[in-house]
Amino acid sequence: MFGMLDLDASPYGAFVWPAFAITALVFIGMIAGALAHARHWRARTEALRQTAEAAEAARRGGPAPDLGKDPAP
Amino acid sequence: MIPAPAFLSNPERFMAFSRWAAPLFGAIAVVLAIAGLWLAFAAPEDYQQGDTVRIMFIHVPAAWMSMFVYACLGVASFLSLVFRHALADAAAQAAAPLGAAFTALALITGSLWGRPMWGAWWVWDARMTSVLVLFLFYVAYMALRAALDDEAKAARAGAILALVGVVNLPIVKFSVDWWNSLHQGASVFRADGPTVADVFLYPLLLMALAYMSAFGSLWLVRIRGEVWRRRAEALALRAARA
Repeated sequence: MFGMLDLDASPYGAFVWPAFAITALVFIGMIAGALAHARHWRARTEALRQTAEAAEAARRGGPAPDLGKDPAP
Repeated sequence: MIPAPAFLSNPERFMAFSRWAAPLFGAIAVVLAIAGLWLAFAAPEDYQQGDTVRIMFIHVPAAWMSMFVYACLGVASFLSLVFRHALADAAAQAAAPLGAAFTALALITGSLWGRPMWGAWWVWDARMTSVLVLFLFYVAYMALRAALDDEAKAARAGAILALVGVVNLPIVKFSVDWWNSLHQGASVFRADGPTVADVFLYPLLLMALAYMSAFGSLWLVRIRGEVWRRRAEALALRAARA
């Protein structure tokens, strides 16, 4: 049913290849955006949590507890 | 309560589930996309459309996803509005940019397909116009959420807007039946079976599943980001009060 790949899109290459290129760019954007959003807020949460824990420890007069790292987003 | 939202309504349970589900869906999407693209470029040229038929394999799944993601946005908004699920609201908020991207992709690739086949980049065809309205609903939803500082008010207003926009989904779907359109009628999801030849149908379905898996993965990642964001804001608020 299927033969070799046909990568010659002429005479419509000017429409076919930009469509695939734009699709690839949109997917790259969606992936980068989703990962950046999740990583940014995870890092911000962990920083705030550590600050809160350090403040709590200072209030009690003891050392700040080791919170460790949460797994990947 | 519907089982799936009940299962996932606990943020801790959701975070545990999404930690392995997001990369799994992503890996499935990559495998399906490779297989789909291989078959897409191994398929013969269409006897009328020539090589432009290959745009179908990226355009049609994007168009399907634009509607599917909006349906997800609608369901999540309903659960957020009625049951006050914070996670449902996060799911709605996370779905919007992905849905907007899929809708933009459907419009752009459709335009690139329309120019050589119809002789125009854009016409005010019922299907294209209703998909443009769908895109505007996504943009309006995101703009509304961004405009309101109060998270609860933003969630409620966004959910109402999203539910109003659900009315547009059957218009998009049946626009080709209700009005004269350059688009053809349904040719895959039909009661009497698909009318598309197998050489085009198989890569199309593989690409549609790849898009679906990619959306599943990215949606989970974005919801995780929303959960982190809300935790960060809660911590910042607590620190400000201390």
